[in-house]
Amino acid sequence: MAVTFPVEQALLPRIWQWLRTNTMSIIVIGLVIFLVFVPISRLLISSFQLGHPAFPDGWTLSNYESAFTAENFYITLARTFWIAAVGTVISLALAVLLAFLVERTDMPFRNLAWVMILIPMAIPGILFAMGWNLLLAPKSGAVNVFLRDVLSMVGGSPGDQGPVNLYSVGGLIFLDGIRGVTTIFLMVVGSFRMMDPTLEEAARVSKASRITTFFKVTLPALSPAILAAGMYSFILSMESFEAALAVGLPGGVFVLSTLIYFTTRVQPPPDYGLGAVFGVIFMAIMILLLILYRRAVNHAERFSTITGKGFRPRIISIGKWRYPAFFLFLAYFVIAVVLPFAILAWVALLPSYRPPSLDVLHLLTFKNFAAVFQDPAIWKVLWNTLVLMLITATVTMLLAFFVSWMIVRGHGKGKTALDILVFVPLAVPGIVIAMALMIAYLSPPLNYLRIYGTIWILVVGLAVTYLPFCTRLMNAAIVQIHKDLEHAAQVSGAKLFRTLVVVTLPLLMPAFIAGWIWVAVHSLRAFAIPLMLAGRNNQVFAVLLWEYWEKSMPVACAMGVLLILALIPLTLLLRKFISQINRQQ
Amino acid sequence: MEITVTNLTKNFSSMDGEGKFAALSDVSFKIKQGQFYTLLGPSGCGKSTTLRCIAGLEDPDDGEIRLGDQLVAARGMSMPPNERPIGMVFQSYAIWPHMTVFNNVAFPLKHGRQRVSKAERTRRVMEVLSLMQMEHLAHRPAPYLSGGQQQRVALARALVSSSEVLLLDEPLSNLDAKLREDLRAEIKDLTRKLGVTAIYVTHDQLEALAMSDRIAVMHGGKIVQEAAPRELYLNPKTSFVAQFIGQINFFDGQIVETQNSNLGAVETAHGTWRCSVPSTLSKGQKVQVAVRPEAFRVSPSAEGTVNNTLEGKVEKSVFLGEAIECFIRSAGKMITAKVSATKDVIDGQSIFLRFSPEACLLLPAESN
Repeated sequence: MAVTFPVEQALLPRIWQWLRTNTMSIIVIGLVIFLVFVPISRLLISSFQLGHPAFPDGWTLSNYESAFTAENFYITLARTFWIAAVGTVISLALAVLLAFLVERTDMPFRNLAWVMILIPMAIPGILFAMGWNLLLAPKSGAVNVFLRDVLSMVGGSPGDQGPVNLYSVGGLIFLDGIRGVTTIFLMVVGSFRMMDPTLEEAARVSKASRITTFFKVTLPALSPAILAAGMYSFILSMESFEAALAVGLPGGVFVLSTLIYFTTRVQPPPDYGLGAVFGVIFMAIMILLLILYRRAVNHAERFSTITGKGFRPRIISIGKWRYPAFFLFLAYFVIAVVLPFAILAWVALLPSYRPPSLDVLHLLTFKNFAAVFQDPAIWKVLWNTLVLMLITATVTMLLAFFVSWMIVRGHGKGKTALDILVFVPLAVPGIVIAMALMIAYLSPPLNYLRIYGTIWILVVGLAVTYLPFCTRLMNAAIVQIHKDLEHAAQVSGAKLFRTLVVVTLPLLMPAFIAGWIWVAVHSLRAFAIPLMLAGRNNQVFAVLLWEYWEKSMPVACAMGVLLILALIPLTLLLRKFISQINRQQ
Repeated sequence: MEITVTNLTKNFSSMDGEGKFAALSDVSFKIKQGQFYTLLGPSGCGKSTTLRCIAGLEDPDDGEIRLGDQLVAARGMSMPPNERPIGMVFQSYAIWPHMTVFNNVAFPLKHGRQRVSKAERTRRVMEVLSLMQMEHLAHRPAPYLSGGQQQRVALARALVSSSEVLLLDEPLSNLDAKLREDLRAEIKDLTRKLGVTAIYVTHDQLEALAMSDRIAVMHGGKIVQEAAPRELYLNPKTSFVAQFIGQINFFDGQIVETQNSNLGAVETAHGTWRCSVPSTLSKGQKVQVAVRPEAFRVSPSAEGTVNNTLEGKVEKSVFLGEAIECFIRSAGKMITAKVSATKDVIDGQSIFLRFSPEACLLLPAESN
């Protein structure tokens, strides 16, 4: 509805009338501005301030100066790019190959292969990195110990380190590369399925061989989709924090996200000004990347080889390569899930860390699992985690619903502004959002809200991060609902807000629930934001786990095992819901 | 409740985003209490926009709308739809699929402005459902209804709160022909019985003629003629209205003679005809002679008649049951005539068409 008021009335009643008719819009827009705009602008301001953000000592450019003159800044920046780029290339190649195998060839056990691709989603990045840390740490890593034994058996002298060093750029590339596969796979597999088979058939009857057809027709036709998926994955890798924390920090291999964490949370005293500068630069880079990404996606949409007719494309017979192809899946599954999970489980069952061997089998114990529940803090932490999960999912989805409704049904400039405002957080790495919130809620005027150090600041942080995804989901769902259904409620006398709650929301319940579960799962495994904003009273499971990792590794592993076991069914449930919605649309 | 629309104007920005086009310009009309009023016109003529402005689903750029004594829309002011005393039926039915029939109909009494107690609600919902002979479907989920049943539910929902104004936006256009006729009669009877003022939007002239007390024909965002159905059919003011309300043949001509008795002579390519000349037209003026297909009588020869005649050759004839539709070429022009089914008409045959001076209409030529 347009902004409207009676002509004949005086100014004050007019303002009152305007407020009354637009209450919902005002609250929703206000909330979005409060959540997204305020912390980010506070971050910008802090980057120009001296001293602690709560007690600034005036304006300065010195933060920028010290960032740009610090040698390690440029190296870190280059390293971040390099790790993300090479990691993305690896995951892209692997994901495209796997998608091709599962959709277009007669590889055996294709359903099993699907499950093996999806399970890694249930393993939080931090646990994946911890698992590989236990396997490949230069000194004590299980695989390294094993390799050294083999080497000395054949007469070498391997020393007490290596041969593989995970605490390196190569190590981070390896972890990023493996982690990126699932995302890209899910983004491109649909295009492989929906591609018009007549394109390939036309090439085949034009006398092109099967290999030529694949490289000259199939891949080019899919290249926009592949490119878009690659760029998206690249953006995610740029922001990745968990691996860089668990593996990079011990080796002194910093990337931008860990540099921010180090500057504001680890080094004494924290330098908020410098951290803010890093955050601003990080944000600027990501916005640039995101603009490029949107261009690529728009281009991809124009390039419409994918007709959505839903035919089954021709299956290519790969003959004797059928089983090796399946073994590729198996190998990926072992690296992405089995090995890290196995070592976590192994360590969780030992009183203290030992590399796997038969000699220590008699030491196996469930003591660590018991220890998890004997920690006096655990119940508070579990409660926090549960509350965070429920509140974040509900708040984020409700906000996304109202925002999306205004975006889809609204008109004019306000709609575009709102659309951009909720899209922006996609360009802000979790670690930067966390820092922005930290600065914003530690200093006036927002410190009077007293939510710093409570569960609420985590809700705010996570809601901001998940808002872009949830509004996209809700946009797509609201477009499906005929406007007349809402208009009918309004001409029946229902107010706009009531119409939305009684008519629109129930109609898009399936999408709403899917989004709710998505947020719940993600907030259960969220790590960067809860860690960055952790205080005495708002610790969640993942943060407590990290604390244990630094003081009692086996207990941390036990917690990790429990977390993964809780996440696997939730993840599969989520997949089921989302695919149901896709089928409905 | 009386409805008064004055100088209603509404602009839409065009699809390419450049410039605006006028969806409504200066639309004014007045509807009396209890009248069944139809806005008729081709798609894009502004009839739905007018209705949606009255409902409050669109805000007019200029002009006023009054429901009874209450001003509901004026320049820069628009009362939200939920505060207006209206009920509305949509082309798409807009039945909420997540509710039962009962809950759909009960909605205005439960969530609307005048909420009533649960018992009262049940009583009124069942009352209006029984009016539609749908009590037995009350607890069926809405998606399990046929199109006709859904539209009845929509009607029940629009009537349940006893709003004095009923707005109907092409409510029958998604239904099949037989059902359409049944519901047409039902809607008309109901509105009469309940005494509500109804505004009906349609592009179907038959529907409009059959149901309305008054019809406003709209074209290009304007009302081109407003009249009772019979008047509109017999005495269209412009060739657009003549064409839109039923089939009609046009012949270019010039008035060559006017007499006191109003019966003048018009010269056309097909001969000189006697027609009644309205006082607004004068001798020497270029005109169009409009003749409805059913006004023609067929005769084998031109003699023995004072009526106007027209000679032609039957190119094609279609047997429609109650009549034969003939396409006749005369002086290079194709003419449509409807003749009695008992006549023998053979393709290729030369025939004479006769029509009385009272059966033809003169319209000024520039009105097209």
